[in-house]
Amino acid sequence: MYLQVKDVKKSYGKDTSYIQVLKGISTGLEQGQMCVIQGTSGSGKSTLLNCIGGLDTMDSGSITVDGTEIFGMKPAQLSDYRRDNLGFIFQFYNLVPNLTVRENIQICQYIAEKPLDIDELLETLGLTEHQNKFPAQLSGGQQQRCAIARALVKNPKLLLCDEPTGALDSKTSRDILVLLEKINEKYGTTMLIVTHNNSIKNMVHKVIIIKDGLVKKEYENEARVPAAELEDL
Amino acid sequence: MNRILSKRLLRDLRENLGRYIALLLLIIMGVYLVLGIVGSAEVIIQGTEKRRAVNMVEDGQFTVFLPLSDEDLSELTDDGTKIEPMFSLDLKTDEEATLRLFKTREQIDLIQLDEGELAEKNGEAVLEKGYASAHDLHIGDSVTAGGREFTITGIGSVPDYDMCIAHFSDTAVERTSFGLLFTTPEQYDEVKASGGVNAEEYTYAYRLGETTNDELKEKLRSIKIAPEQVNDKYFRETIDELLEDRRKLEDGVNDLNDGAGELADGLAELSGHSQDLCQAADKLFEGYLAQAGSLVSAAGQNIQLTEENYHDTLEPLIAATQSEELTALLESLDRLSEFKEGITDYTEGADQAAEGSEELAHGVKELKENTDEMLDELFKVDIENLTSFVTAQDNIRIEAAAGDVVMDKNTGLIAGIIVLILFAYVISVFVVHQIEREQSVIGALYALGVKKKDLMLHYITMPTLIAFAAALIGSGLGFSPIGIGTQVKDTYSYFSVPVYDIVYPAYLIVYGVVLPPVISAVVNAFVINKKLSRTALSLMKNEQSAGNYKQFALKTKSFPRLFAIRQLVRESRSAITMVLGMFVSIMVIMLGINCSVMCGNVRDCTVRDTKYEYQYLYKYPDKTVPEGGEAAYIETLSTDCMGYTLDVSVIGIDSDNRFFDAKPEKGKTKAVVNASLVERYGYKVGDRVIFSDAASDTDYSFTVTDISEYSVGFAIFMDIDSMRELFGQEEDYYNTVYSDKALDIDDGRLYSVTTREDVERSAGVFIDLMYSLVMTLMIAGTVVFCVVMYLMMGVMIDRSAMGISLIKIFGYRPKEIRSLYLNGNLLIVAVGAAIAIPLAKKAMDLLFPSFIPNVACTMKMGFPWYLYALIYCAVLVIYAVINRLLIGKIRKISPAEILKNRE
Repeated sequence: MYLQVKDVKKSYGKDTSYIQVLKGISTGLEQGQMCVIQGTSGSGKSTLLNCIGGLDTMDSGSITVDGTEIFGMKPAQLSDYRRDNLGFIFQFYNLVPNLTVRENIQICQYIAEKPLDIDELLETLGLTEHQNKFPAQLSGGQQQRCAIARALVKNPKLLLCDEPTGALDSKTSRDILVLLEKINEKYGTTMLIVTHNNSIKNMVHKVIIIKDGLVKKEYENEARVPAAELEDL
Repeated sequence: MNRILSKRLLRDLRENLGRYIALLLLIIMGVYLVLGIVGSAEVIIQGTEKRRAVNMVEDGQFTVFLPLSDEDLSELTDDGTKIEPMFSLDLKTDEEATLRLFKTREQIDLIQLDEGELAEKNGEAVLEKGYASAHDLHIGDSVTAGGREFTITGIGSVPDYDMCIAHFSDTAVERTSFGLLFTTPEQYDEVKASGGVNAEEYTYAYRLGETTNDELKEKLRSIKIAPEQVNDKYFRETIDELLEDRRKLEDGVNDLNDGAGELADGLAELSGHSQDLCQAADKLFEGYLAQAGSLVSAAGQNIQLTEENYHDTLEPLIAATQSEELTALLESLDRLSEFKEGITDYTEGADQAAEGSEELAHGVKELKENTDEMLDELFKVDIENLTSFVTAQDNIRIEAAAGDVVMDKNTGLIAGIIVLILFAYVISVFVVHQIEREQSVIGALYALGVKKKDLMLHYITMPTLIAFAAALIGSGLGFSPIGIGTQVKDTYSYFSVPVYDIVYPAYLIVYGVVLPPVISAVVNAFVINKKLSRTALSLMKNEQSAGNYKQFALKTKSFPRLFAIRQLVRESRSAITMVLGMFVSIMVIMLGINCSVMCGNVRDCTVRDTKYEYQYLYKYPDKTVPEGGEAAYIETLSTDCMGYTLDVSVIGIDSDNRFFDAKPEKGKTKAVVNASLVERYGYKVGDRVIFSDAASDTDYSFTVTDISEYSVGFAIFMDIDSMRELFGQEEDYYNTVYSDKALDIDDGRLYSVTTREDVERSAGVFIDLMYSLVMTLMIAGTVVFCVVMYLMMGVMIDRSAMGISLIKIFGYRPKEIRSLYLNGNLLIVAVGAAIAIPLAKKAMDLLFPSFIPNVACTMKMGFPWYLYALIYCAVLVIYAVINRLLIGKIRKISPAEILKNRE
C-alpha cells in the first residue's frame, strides 16, 4: 500500500479537558487512488488528515507513506517528508495575499526537485490570463484553482485536500472536482480528500467513513461517476 | 457591550505581555528622560528667577581704568541707582590655580552660602563652591592664595559668576583652575597693599534706579580720568610718557617761535644798517664827484658833473690832458658807483628778508597756537574712564545655567512629543495587526449591532492604558531624585549655582501624565479608524482589498528576492515605522556622538591652533615689546547668536606672525575670519561681516579677505597697523604678547598670563563634562532602536504567521523560511540604515548649533568614514541579534496554524 495507517491514536488536553479524537484508526490507500474521508464534525477526519500530512503528531500507531514511517519523526524530518511527498489543498485556499497567482505557485516550485512547468499548469488550470492577478482579484473558484496549481507544481505523490469545495458554489465545486479528477488521471497523483459533501464520494476510488475517532466504514467505489456528472454538489 | 469587550483586554494583555512590557518600558524611559531633562531645566530656570530678588542680582556691570571718585558715584546714584565696587585681585594658589579675591558684597550680587558663614575677620574667606568641590575643600580648611592663607568659613556662590570663568572670552568653566574668594574689606586691602599681584580690576555692579542702561552708560562715558588721581605706577608711567611727548613737542614749537621772532628782529636791524651804509656811500661818491668837478673847472670846462654824466665827461678830458689825478678820480668814482649799486641791492634784500622773517614769525606764532590746540586735543589726559560696560543680559556669566538649560527644555519637550508619537505609532501597528486578525469577528460584532465607536474604544483602550501606566511610572521616576535629581546634577557640576528646590510645574505634570495616553489614543484612533470603517459583510468574509497590494510586476527570476520584495511592500507600514524608529534613535545617538565629537574636536583644534606657550594680556603695555615676544593687539567685539551675545576676538597681528596661520591684508575694513565663525555663520570670502562694541555702541564692518583654520573661539584677524588705526591707537600700540618661552614681565602690567597648558586643559574640560550626557543619549538611542526594531520585526513576523505556517506545511526548511521572511528585513535595515545614518547626521549637524547657541566654539562635528561604517555595522549587528531572537518566534509558528485560521 502506498499509504498505510495502523491503529493511530490522538488525544488533546489533560484531566477534565482530555479528549481522544482518534481512537485507533487503521486504513490504507493504493498509489494513484482518489479517496474521500467523510464524517461528521468532530469525528476526527481533519485530525487524521493532519497526522498523515505530518502537521500534527499522533500519540501512537503508525503511518507509512510509500514505505516511510512518519511516526516519531522530528519536525525537520516531517518538513522534508512534506516537501518531498505532499501537496495540500485547503477549504479557504490559503493563498498568500500579496503574491500574484504565478508567484503563489512559485512558492512550491521553488522547493521542488523536479517541478512541473508553471505555464503548462496555468494553462491546464485555466489561469494563464489571471497569472499576474492577486488573490483578492480572483473569484473563489479561481483562487482554489490557483491553490491546486500550487499544490501540484512540485508534482507530489500524495495530495491532501481539506474540504476543497467547502467554500465554493456547486458549479465551481464541480469544476474543481473535474480538475482534480483530470490531474489524477494525468499525473497519477494519489489524493486524500476530506469532505462533508456526500456527492464527492461517487467520483473517487475509495471511501472512508469515520465516526467518533474510528473507521466506521471503508469501501472501494466500484461504480465511479465522473466528476462532471456528479449531482447535488 | 464595552464591559463584555473589556474582558478581552486582560486576555490580550496576557497574550502579548512581552510586547506590552517592552512598550511600557519604552514609554517609561521616554517620559522619564524628558521629564528628567525638562524638569531639571525648570528647577534651574525657576530657581534662577527666585535668585534674582534674593541675591540682588545686578542689572549690569562696568569696568573703569581708575576707581570712580565719590563725586562721580554720587552723581551716578542720585536717581536711585545702586552701585557697588566689585574690585578684584587674581591670586595664584600653590597649585597654580587662580582665585579671584573680592570683598564681601553688601548690596548687589550677594553671596549665597551653601554652608558656613561670611568672613568676619582677617584670614577668613568664603570659597566659591565649584572650586571647593574640585579641590575637596570644606569649612575649616585653609586655602593659600597670593602667598596668604585663608581659612574657609563658608562655601557658596554669587550670581555674577553663575558660569565661573575668569574672562568673558573663556569658553569653558575650569573648576580646578579658577575660583572665587570673598574676604573682609580690611583683608582685601591688606592683600592689595602687599603687592606681588596682578593689576586690580576695577569693576562695579549696578542695579538701576530711575534710569536706563543706556543713560547710565552715557553718564559713565562722560567721566574722564584726572591725571592726579592715578596711583597705579604703570598707568602713571603711561600718562607720564604721554605728557613727556607733549612737552617735547611743545618745547620744539616754542623754540621755533622764539627763533622766528629773533630772526625777524635781526633782519629788521640789518635792514636799518643797510640804509646807513647806503647814505655813507652816497656821501663819499658826492665828495669824489665834487673833487672831480673842481679839476674839470680848472681845465676850463664849465660842466656840472653828475652821477650820470661824470664818466662821459671825464674820459675825453683825461685823453686830452693826460691828467693822472683825473684818471685816479675816475677810477675811484667808477668803483664807488659799483659799490653803491651793490649796497642798494643789498639794502633791498635786507628789507625783503626783514619783511619775510616778520611773516615767518607770525606764521610760527600761528603754528604754535594751533599746535597748542592740537596737543590739547591729542594729548589730553582726561581719557574716557569706562573700559567695558556689560548689561546682565549680555553677561555670559550671569544666569548662564538658566540660559544653558532653556535649550534643553525646548529640545526635550519637542523631542518628547516626537518620540511619543513614534511610540504611539508603534503601538498602532500592533492594534492594526490585531484588528486585521480579528476582522471576521469584528464583522460579526457589527452584524450583531455593535457600534464602531464601541470597537474603537475597545481597541484604543489597551494602548491608552499602557501609555497611561507608563506615563504615571515615567513621571514618577522623572520627578524623583533619580530623574530630575540626577539630571540637575550635571548643571550643578558645571555651573556655580546654589542647590535649588525641586519644582513641579503643572504643564510638565500634564505633559508627563496626560500627553502620552492622549497621543496614544489620538494616533491609534486615527490609524485604526479606517480599518474599522469597512462593512460588516466585508469584514466577515475577510475580504482582501485588491488595492491593498501594489499592482507592479517584478522582473526578477529569483523567487526568494521576489518574495522578499513583496513581503517588504506588504509590511511597508511596519517597515516605515522601523525605519522611522531607526532614524529617530540614530538622531538621538548622533546627538550624543556629535556632543562627544565636537568636544573632542574643540580640544584637538585648540591644541593644534595654540602655537604659543605663553599669552600675556597687558593692562599697561611696556614701551617696547619684550624680547622673544610677538606683539599683538586684541580687542573684543560681539556678535549675536539666537539671542545670545557671543564675544569675537579681533586679533591684530603682523603678517609674519609665527603663532597664527592668518595672513591679514592691510586695510581698516579687511579681516580674516576664523573657522569657528565660518562654521557657525557660513561666512565666505568677500562677505561683509559686522561685529559690535557694546561699550561704545559702535558697529564695525569688515570684508572677509580670507578664512583661517584657527578654531579657538570666535576670532577675526586684522593687520595690526590697520587695526591700530581703526581703533585709534598709537602706531606701536599692543596689548598682548605671544611667546614660546616665559618672559620677564612685571605682574602689575598684566591682566593675565595664559599658558598653553591652561588652554589645553580648558579645551578638554567639555569632554568629561559631557560624558554622562553622551552616554545617556547613546544608551537611550540604542535602547529605542533595539526595542522598536524588535517590536516591528516581531509584528512583521506575527502578521506573516499564516504565510510562515503555510510554507512550513509545504516543507520549507528553517533556513529557507528565514531567507523569505527575514531577508527582506535585512534589506530594510541595510537600506534604512544607509539612508538614516547620513540623514540623521546631516539633520543633527544642522540642529546642533541651535542646542548650544551660547557657546562660541568650533562646530566641527565631522568624523571619519570608519565611524559611519562602525555605526552601520553596529546597526547590522543589532539586527542580527534581534533576527536571532526572532528565529525562535518563527520556530514556534506551527504548520497547523494555517488550519485554524486564514488570512
